[in-house]
Amino acid sequence: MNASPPLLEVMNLRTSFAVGQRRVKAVRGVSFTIGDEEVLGLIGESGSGKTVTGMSLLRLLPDHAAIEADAIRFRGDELTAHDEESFRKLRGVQLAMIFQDPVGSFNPAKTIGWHLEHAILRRSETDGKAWRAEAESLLQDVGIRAPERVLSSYPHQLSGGMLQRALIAMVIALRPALIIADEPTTNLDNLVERQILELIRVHQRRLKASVLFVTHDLAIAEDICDRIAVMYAGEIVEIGPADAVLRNPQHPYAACLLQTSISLAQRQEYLFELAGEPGGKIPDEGCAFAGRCPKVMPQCRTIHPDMRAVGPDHQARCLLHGD
Amino acid sequence: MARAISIGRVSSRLGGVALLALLGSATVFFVMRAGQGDPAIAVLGDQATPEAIAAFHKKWMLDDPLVIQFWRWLSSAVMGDFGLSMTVAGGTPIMGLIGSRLPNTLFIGAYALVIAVSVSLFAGTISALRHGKFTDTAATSIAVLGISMPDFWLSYVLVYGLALGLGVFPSYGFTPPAQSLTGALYSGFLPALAIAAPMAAAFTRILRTALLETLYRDHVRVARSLGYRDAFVFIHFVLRNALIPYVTVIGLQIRYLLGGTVVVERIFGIPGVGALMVDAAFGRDYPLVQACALTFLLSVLLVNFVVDLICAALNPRQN
Ligand SMILES: Nc1ncnc2c1ncn2[C@@H]1O[C@H](COP(=O)(O)OP(=O)(O)OP(=O)(O)O)[C@@H](O)[C@H]1O
Ligand SMILES: [Mg+2]
Repeated sequence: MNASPPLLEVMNLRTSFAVGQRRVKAVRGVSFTIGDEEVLGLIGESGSGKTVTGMSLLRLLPDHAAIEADAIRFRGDELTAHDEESFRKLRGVQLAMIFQDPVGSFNPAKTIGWHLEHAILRRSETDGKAWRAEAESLLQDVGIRAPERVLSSYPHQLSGGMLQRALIAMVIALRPALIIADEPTTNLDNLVERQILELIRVHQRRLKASVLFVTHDLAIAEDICDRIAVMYAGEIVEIGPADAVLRNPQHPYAACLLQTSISLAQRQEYLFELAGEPGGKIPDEGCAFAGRCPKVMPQCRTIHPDMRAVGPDHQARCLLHGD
Repeated sequence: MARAISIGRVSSRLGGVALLALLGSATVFFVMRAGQGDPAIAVLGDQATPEAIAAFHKKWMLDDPLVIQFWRWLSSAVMGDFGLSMTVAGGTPIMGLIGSRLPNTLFIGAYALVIAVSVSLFAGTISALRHGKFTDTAATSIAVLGISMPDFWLSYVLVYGLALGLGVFPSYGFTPPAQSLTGALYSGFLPALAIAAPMAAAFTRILRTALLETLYRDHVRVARSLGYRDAFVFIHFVLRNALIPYVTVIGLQIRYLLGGTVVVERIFGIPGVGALMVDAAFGRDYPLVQACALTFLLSVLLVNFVVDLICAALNPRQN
């Protein structure tokens, strides 16, 4: 008996950019799975490769990016085997993305109604004026109380929160199975942020969709995620159930990240600081975090650790955990 | 979707047009009078007697103070009366002269514009999409060449190559569009091409730059993430937004278009306002030069006005 495959299975994803004569490795061997109706959080400091991971999965990076992977399976279907045109047909309706900047996400020359019309048409061949009724009900679903006015508005006439709602409406119009949400609330104020997160959660459940949720806010991650992956310098250094990773982090970087966030939340005088520069030069061998790690050991500088089990469904990439 | 342009905006624009027309006319008037030469000599010849010259001056009231002459010209021009030509058949109404020639000039200008826009839409798109590859390099080099080629030079190259060498197009003469549209398209092709080439080059460059800037904007990535077809994404998300700077530059180039018609009409023997103005300038036919210059000026302002309307319609953030 074969168990049905997970919704998304990523094995050894590597993405690099040609910058001048050099190749910048932004994602260096990322592997994870996302189950049905599961929300996987992707956390890590700026520049750790979260966005590039999401964009690589949807093949949205510019030409100077090279994406390689041992496997990217979507419901068992090998995505790397799809050519551009057949992959395009999966975009939106199977795998969709919500971006960080709602204002920039819209075509400034077109109304919200135009955007929704084409999202609805992309899903189904609704004819004539039928899309309009659907667009209005979609906007109501995302908490917009005056859908007619919003439909005839141009993006520059609406607030960021309103636009993010409209973008979510476009995405749910397509009913994708996997939504990659890349810091969808970073540019919004607190109250709106809460509302948008709630919306994403409500619609994720209603659509029975899975979400890859990129954030660097641990409080949000705790709220919304079932599992959490912590990224550092293009690698996943810890992955496991949200509770386990946040309450009992096993990788020193994850522990540091958590402490930073706790001291921020409590507005403590003393702010835990991570030594060293983020996004600095990654050493050729050994652990990428060794240079900043409070628990560094001599062998950390030479041995690149692999993922080790540290609990049920919980792994960390650290030599502290013998295998 | 076109938006209504407010009345206030239109009327302030019209006020600006009137002011520019006045300043332009005054400049042409006084610069012409400041120059050497006498229309009496041009009309009567070198051998004319002083009495004949004096009579000519008296007839056209050329000895009045310049300001009075300008005022006289202005007050009838405002009423739409440009008077008679001093040189053409000893007093032909200028309105009729311009009226019969303006369609030819407008035809050549519009023809050149259509060529320049079509070529640049094609070349600009190709070179932006094939950014950095051979096609782009080739198109960009040709564009640079096009920009640096003066249209009179290109006219001669075209005459020698396509007309005299290959015998495909006529090297001289023009069938007015009023007489035969296909004839006008055929005989007007080389002159229109000579004007269009440098403009097509400039338009191609701006379109390529605008497309490359738009191509990597977030909303294009979002459109791709929704799985829209490439052509749909390109037309509605990329090209649509690149059109705003593109149309703006077209508006700015319109004055070169009319400058081009002046040169090309002479070379190809097209009976247009440009050629008329050059002849009038040589003959010191003051009222005719004035009227031709004003016609050009108003055409440029009118086209710019239309371009502004198009830009406003393209960009919902205006208004
Ligand atoms: N288009 C690109 N060209 C070259 N390098 C890039 C490009 N996009 C990203 N990178 C590099 O890839 C690395 C990872 O960037 P990424 O945007 O994925 O970080 P992130 O984790 O999403 O950070 P943030 O929290 O700030 O969004 C960075 O070092 C960045 O400089
Ligand atoms: Mg990011």
